[in-house]
Amino acid sequence: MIEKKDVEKLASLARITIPDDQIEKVRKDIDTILAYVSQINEAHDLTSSEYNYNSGVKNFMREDTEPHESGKFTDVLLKSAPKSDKGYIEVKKIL
Amino acid sequence: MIDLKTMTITKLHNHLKAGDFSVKQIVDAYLKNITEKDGEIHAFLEVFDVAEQVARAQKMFDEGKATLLTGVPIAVKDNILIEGHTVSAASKMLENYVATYSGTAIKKLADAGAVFIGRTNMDEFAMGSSTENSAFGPTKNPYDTSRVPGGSSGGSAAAVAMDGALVALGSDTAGSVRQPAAFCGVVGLKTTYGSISRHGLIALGSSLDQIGPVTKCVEDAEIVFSFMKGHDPLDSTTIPDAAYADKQNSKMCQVRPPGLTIGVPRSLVEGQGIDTDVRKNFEETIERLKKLGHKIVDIELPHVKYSLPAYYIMLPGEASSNLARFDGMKYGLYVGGEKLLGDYLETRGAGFGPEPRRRILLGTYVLSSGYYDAFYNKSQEVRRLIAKDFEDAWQTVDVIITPTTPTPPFKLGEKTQDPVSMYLADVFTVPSNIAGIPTISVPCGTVEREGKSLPLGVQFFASHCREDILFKIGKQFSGEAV
Repeated sequence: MIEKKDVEKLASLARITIPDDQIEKVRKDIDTILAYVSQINEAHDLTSSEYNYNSGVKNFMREDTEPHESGKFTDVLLKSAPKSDKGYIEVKKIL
Repeated sequence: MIDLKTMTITKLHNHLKAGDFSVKQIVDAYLKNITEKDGEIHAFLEVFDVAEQVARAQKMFDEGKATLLTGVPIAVKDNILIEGHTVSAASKMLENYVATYSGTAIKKLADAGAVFIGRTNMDEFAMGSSTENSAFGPTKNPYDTSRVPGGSSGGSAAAVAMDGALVALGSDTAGSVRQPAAFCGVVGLKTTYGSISRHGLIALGSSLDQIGPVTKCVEDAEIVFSFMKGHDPLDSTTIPDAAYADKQNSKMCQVRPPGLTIGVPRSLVEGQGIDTDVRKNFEETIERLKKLGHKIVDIELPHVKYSLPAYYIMLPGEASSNLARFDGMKYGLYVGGEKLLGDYLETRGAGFGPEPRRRILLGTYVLSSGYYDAFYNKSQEVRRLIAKDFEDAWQTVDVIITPTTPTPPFKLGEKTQDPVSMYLADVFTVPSNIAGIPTISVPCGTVEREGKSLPLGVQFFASHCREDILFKIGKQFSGEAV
């Protein structure tokens, strides 16, 4: 059972403000969804052959080479930023 | 007079090639339809100024350089980037965001001379099954405007159904191309994970997302796929072209002549919540397939029933990570708050609608250290079991079928208060995303509701990289030339 304080904690971790009058609805929805998804616990734990079953998926890496010319995309990207200054994205002071 | 109702890509191409009409005339015919119908349907969030694209396509014809897609009007879901155009994912978060580059699929279609006619409405960040989660108002079903077109690519499906475009692009993470296609009486294709580049698609669940076409007929889906597919260095999850060909040529994957063996996962299609008329239609569909010379066998996919609950763990996990990038700093909405933390809190609080917010919180929960094993890890184990169920099934069958949706199109507002009831609309479509296999939804008849005829769809599933089987059986089933 999810409680109001859990929703507030999740919202704080996810950096989202939730108005007070909506918290109960969010709590109820998340509780209902968690109850629904919990049925996956009925599925058995993987056997070793299932665990080792090769689905053919593997990681692909590329060489870290051929960078584009520095600054090539700066202007076009900065145009999308809410605030920028002298070639940098501007944000509030962290410390 | 141009008959758009029965138009296909091949027909259009032949007309344009023969000079029966110009690219401008055909595009204008679609634009006229949008003007007349979209006030009520609301399939489009924006219709583009197409003059330049039209001129370019016409030039390709005039110079003998036209491809099958040259001059084909394509509507694009609002989560696929076209350089210089707004792309909002139907969210306040990106309402004024202009794409700084084009997605790979878009580039390929543009090179072929396609004409992007506008961007289509969707559920916010592709989260939903009805297009009611759009921050800019719902789309309505062209067959009955009191009902939803499905989602999340509801605008794309409605656009094709109302002849607002010949082709539309959607994205499919749990059924978001196929479910609206079924609800709008058109064809929807979700291809093998890794067959079409996701570069330039706004990410929802990166291990599940695929761009897919919505079309009037199976052949059109095949044509559009042939232009969009292929390995892309900008998406490391795309399958190398040689590996794709190997898979199609491997002995184990040869289609068994003369007819196909089609598996019916009985326990799944006879589960709770399946509409009686949908079941009846499904049995009729099976009979039609038998008459076409195919062999029908019952199969078991023992873990596939866990697809939807597993999905609603892994997807929120992936989505909460993907949506972490919307912070009010780099692009998109900015709402100032107290200090830097306040900027995050206010921007994200104001930018995300209720469904993305719900999934971000759920994702944060299932990925948190205390619950990771019980939820996220378990969902990944179940994912393996589901993938293996399908692998086992391909030992005995070539194709699997289910209805595309458990019910006909539902009413606007019917499921908006209860998220789980909305999620259940994807119960038949989500397994193929989890397994990464290709699936096509094809219209298979109608049901009557309140004096209106509503479309239904049937889904054909095949093993990885075997879209060719889907096109073959899909065309035969739809009465198209094979």
